[in-house]
Amino acid sequence: MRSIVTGALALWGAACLTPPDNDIIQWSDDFEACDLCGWTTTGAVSRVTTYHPGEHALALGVGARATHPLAVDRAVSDGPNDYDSTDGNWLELSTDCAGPGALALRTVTTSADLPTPLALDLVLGSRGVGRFERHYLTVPALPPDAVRVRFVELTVATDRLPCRVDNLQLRISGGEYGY
Amino acid sequence: MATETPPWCRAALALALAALLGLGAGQIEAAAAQPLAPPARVAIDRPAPARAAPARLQLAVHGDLRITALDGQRDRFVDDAMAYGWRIARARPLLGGRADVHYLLTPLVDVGASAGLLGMTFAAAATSPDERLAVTWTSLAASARLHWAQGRPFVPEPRADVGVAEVVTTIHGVDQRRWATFTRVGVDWRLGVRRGGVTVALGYTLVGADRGDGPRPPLGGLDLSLGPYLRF
Repeated sequence: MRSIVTGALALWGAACLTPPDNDIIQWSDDFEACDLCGWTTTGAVSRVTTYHPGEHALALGVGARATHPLAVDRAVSDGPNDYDSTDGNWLELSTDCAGPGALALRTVTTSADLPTPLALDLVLGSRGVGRFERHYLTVPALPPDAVRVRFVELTVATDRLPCRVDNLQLRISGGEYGY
Repeated sequence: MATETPPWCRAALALALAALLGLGAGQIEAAAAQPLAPPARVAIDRPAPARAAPARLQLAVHGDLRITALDGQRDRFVDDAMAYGWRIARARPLLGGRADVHYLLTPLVDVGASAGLLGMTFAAAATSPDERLAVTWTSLAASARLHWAQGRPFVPEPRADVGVAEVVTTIHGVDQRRWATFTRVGVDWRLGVRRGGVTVALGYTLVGADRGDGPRPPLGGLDLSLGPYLRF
């Protein structure tokens, strides 16, 4: 009996010591399942093959835009702390356009009754085109007066250069990756 | 008609015979004074014992492990794989097998051919563990080895292989094929008897550079092989 109690206490203690979830993907697209499924495009946007016939990416011409709906809820208090400008969310992507680009939050109006609907607007870098690199863009601070927010769409756009984008991922941090 | 030899002629013939045989009167006396020699021994030519025909053909099968972490492409592969969004990208060891056939061409050189099949998964996607970057290596090479162990144990026999390999890279279930040239240098230890045993092999494989875009898994490295051999 004593061993059972000891084991249960050990399991309970281990559960308490488990760090919060980190590096969780809330949404992603690797452009492999189908041809731009769910994307709304403006301008020259296509699905192209990259370094391998089994590997595809989103290709945007100059001034093109591609938008995908999201349904990701986040509580402002989910952030790792309350005194910096991040809320533990970031966007990851691989692109051949140099530089991480710029990520902005935009409040949108929806017909549904949603808790603070927000859009993520990504403008890819325009310093040049080279080898694919992985970029990490921290989501700007969430509105401080909101209790809960919902990311309802993601827009990827180019400025002055054509870019290819692959493995888009929206991730959260439980604190370990908070800045 | 009978002819009678004169007496002087008989005496001359007797003296000539005695001179030819070297049996002067003094010699005969000296010989009589010596002890008797042992009986004479006569060498008889016998046929040489039949030697076993040397084994000239050797067949071997190996389990093969190639440590690709020692390939110079390792760091670049990991960087490129992460840049394209792969997770858990590592220079994992290639596993598989190899079959050799060698022929003893001269007293010191085995020549032959080698065929191998290796494979490994080098990276996995973050979104789905089933999405993997896998490589299959199928090779054929010409091989030469110094055959100087001659039955002595633990004598390494240097060996070189030059060949081509078909490299199939599979991503998202789609194959991409390319050809690569490679050179392998190393040593074999044949541990066994004349007709069979176990080969332990150690070598390093250099693979021709693949300058394509995207992550290119490292395929060269240190080879460790172990397997039986048979000789005929």
